[in-house]
Amino acid sequence: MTPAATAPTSSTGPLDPALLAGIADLELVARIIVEGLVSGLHRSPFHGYSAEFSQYRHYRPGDDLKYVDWKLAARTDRLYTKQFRETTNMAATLVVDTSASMDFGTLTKFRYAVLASAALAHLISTQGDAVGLVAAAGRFIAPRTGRQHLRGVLAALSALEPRGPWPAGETIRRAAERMSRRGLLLVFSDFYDDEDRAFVELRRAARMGHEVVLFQILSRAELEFPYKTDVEFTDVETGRSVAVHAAVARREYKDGVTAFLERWRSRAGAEGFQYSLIVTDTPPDRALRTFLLAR
Amino acid sequence: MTFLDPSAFFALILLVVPVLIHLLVHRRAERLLFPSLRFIQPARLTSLRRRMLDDVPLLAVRAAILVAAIAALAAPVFLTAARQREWNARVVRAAVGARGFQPRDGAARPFQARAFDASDVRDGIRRAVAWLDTAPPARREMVIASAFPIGSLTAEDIAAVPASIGLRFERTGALPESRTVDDARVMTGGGATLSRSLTLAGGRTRVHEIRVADRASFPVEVDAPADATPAIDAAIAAVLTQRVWAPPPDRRARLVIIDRSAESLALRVMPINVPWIAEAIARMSRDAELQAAASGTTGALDARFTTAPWHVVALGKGAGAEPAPPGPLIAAAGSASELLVASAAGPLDLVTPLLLRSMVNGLAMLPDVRQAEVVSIPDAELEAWSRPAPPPGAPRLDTLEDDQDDRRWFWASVLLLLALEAWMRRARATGGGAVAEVDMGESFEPANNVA
Repeated sequence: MTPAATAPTSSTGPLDPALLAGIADLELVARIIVEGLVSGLHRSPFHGYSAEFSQYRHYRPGDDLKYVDWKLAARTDRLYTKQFRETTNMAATLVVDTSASMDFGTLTKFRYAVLASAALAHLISTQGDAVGLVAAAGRFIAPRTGRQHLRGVLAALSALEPRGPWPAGETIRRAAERMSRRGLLLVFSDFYDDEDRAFVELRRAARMGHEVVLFQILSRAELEFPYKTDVEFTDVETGRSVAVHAAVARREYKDGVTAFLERWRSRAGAEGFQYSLIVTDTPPDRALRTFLLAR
Repeated sequence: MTFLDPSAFFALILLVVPVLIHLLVHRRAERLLFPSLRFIQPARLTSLRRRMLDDVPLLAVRAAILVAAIAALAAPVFLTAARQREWNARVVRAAVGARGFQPRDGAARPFQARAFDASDVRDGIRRAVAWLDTAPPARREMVIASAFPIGSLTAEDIAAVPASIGLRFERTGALPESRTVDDARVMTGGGATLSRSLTLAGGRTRVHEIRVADRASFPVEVDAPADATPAIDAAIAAVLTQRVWAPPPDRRARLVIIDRSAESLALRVMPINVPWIAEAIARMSRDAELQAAASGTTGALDARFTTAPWHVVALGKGAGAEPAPPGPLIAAAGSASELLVASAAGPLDLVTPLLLRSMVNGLAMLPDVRQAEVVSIPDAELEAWSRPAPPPGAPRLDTLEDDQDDRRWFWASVLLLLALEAWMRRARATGGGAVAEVDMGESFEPANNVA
């Protein structure tokens, strides 16, 4: 595991996630976040445009003169055109969990996921790479480059809404299969749903050659369980309820959450996924910077 | 322990309030939407039931606070043996007697003492009883000093003193062997007026009379039909043969015989505001012979004599031949200067001379010869009336001294229970006692949690 580098100081300071969440223009928010997190980065966190020299061939009328090797022409009095291997710019696909369980917290996990994924989409796109989006099973935007395409991705992110259960395994599988070449799979989820199937598909995506990055997003309340009195908890997805005395149930709850998170962290590490646990009260630029510095 | 104001315990009905609050608050659990219940175990419902059991001590403490406060308001007094001994050992004494009288200490020096100067022993006793009622808990004693002439105290006066007050009598001063006092004047047959003096010597009373007037006017003027004059004169003569008291010249009376011809008679009366007129009416009402004679006499006054300012003095058999309920036969009122009596009895009825006699005696100003008594109440009777000061019973709250007011202990227990309740509430809020430990310090640092 790459040790995390010392984060560079930012003159603007951390970005208040609640404040960012209040900005309706997702492109603006994404740009703000990106400006906040790329300052101080010494290199591009993602692999950008690359072209590799392949061979020479005789010049044919119409060839682009910038690909003519003039040094060779000077030596040989003949004109030759350079040929390159196919350009291998990176393709990233964002996978965002739209289950009802993401709709929790003052700054909801879903909104945080949208902000973070929009920021990364902006960053990837401005660096010349392709970015796409998969939300639920029926919504897929293939990775492409370009500002216009980026706007489309951000618009699609803005239109997403957390609702009902999320078929994690099927969504991940679809995202991995729809990517035409090996690329980057960025998954934003709490990973409550379909846990085992999701992991199976993530592992399958990794074996297909994709680089898998997991952002597990939780709220502080889910981690700390700060409740003290009699509480009747209702599952936002299933509607099931259970009444407990929260102060008494806290220990067992935290043990369960800890084990759950540790399970995802260790399994991700074992499979070579890059894993980040993000709490929604963390400024998104800080959370993403930590992730980017670790790449 | 006793409670001096047990009515405060009616407030125990308020105990239902904390129970209701306990139940109502208990049933309202906060409802929250949560992303996932996978880490919240349904089995923890038993902990909820356990908390209900755990709350019973808290409810009990709250109830105890209320009970202790109510008990404090009920004015508790611990009647310990030591306290009883303390109260028994001290005496509160009231001395009734002439100015400067100092009673003998008796068995113990008084804890508190007060003297009541009283020429009238009865008045002194009344004031002494009122003072002793407000005294702190102690044996209570009244010492009465007098020459105790007969009539100055009676068994009824002694019975009016509460049994919680001891009585001791000290004979002071000496009564003269004999005493001569002026008595009221009397009228005899023929209109003569005699002056009387009484000489009391030991158990014997000697009366000395001196004629002071030969012919005095009869103090009662009678309004009757003209043909009744002989009967009235005869009645007056009969009265005088009884040697009636002679009233002062400024006390006069008028008797009006009411018959049908007097129905339209107007009598100028007013509310009684002259003391001797009121006293005369009272004496007439206490005249047993007059009352007896009136009850057997037929006749009744009309309704105007049954309302103020008239006072019904005697009831008759009622009017009419048929048996009728008793009706007013004789009524009395006053004018500015004389007593007015209306009678429905006939001039020849026996009640008429008895009424005249009662009116004359009622007008008289009789001296109280009891003041001249030279014979004292026997020692044996005083001894029989004497009694020791009994041990004090349950005191009154307003008679307790500050250091004997036990409410403070109950208020102190209320404060302690309040502190206990606050501690228990805090312990419950932090989960203390319900689980082995609650780890509040564990937190997640996402910046360090990157694989």
